[in-house]
Amino acid sequence: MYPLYRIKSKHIIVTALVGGIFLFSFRGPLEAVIVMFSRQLTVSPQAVLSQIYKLQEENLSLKLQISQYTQLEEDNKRLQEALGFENDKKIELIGSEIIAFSPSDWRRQVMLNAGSTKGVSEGAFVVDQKGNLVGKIMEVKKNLSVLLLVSDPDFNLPVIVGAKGVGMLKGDFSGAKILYIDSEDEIASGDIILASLPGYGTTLKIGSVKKIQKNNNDLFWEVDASLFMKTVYFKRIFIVK
Amino acid sequence: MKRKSIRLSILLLLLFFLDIIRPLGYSLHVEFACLGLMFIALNEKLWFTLTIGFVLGYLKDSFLPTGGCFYCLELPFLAAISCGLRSYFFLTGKKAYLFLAKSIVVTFFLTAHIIYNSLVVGFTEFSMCFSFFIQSFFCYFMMEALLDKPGFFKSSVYT
Repeated sequence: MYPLYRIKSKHIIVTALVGGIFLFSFRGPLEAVIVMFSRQLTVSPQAVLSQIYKLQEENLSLKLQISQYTQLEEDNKRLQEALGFENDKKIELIGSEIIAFSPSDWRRQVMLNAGSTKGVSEGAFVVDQKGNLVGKIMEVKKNLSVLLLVSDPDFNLPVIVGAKGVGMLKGDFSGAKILYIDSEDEIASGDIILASLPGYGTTLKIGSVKKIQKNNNDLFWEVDASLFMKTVYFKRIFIVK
Repeated sequence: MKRKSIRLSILLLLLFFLDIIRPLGYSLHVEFACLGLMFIALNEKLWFTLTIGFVLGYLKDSFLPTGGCFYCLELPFLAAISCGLRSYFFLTGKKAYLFLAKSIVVTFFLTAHIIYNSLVVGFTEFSMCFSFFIQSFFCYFMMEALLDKPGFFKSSVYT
């Protein structure tokens, strides 16, 4: 047997370092496996599941309406007349399930089982069960549509950061970056990132500010954002009609 | 030979299916179909590797709404170079260096795949590329250990 005292400390350090890097890289999949198994433990019959989905859809629609009305109260009288025309619209959601992911790891696109027959239109926003923005519809077919996730590098959307900041959100695989935020705007780490829902006079949450930095000569902040949506946790999502 | 080709084709289709359903979402940065293609490039003849590479590239392109024929061009090309590298290492090297030679080919394939995709997308995220490399490298050798059994998929190119 090889005596323990013969094992050099540098071997232990190298092994620990390599093992550390290896495990660090696999923390995402491990988390996903744990979530998957915990889901299996709480499995329910199909009828109960469909009832839950229906209630979730209703609950989310009501939540968004509350957010819509709260925002209305905060608006001043000068805007009430202009918003009144559009805000009479009720937020309608189309429940949908993910049927496939894009086979490339460099794309963040998924296919949904709802298409033009259910009233899905191109550019429509998609939210998860908590009402966080997941992405927008980029292609619609008769019975399916393609959703571009917020984390896709091709995803661009004007967003509001904190109280005053306005910038352009761009996906970067794991999260998102916010571009073109004026260096004079006051933003802080942890600020909520919102996107306006066109035609409804309300906003949707996307994520929060993770890191802010700026070089001396830069005109804009460099902002890293962490997203509220987690692709591995949702199976059913809602398209805003 | 014919039976083995059918088995490998079915395996590739299953791996492609795994890529589409992604049981762990985007937390696992692995393209299983590419791992399967690497396995074929390291075990089979050039014409078969090229055919499978082209079919796989076509399937991938057809599932991406952005269109284009990026994978139709990339995968057969990478598979052919990997096949050539394998032949070079296996014919000139010793058997003791088999794992090293395989590692070099796998590293080449993965690195070229990362660079090509980063150029196509026009965006590079270091942490994601790093995770993709480590996880794919590990998954490849795990897959090979499962598949490379005598009488199942084991090839004659090593012997």
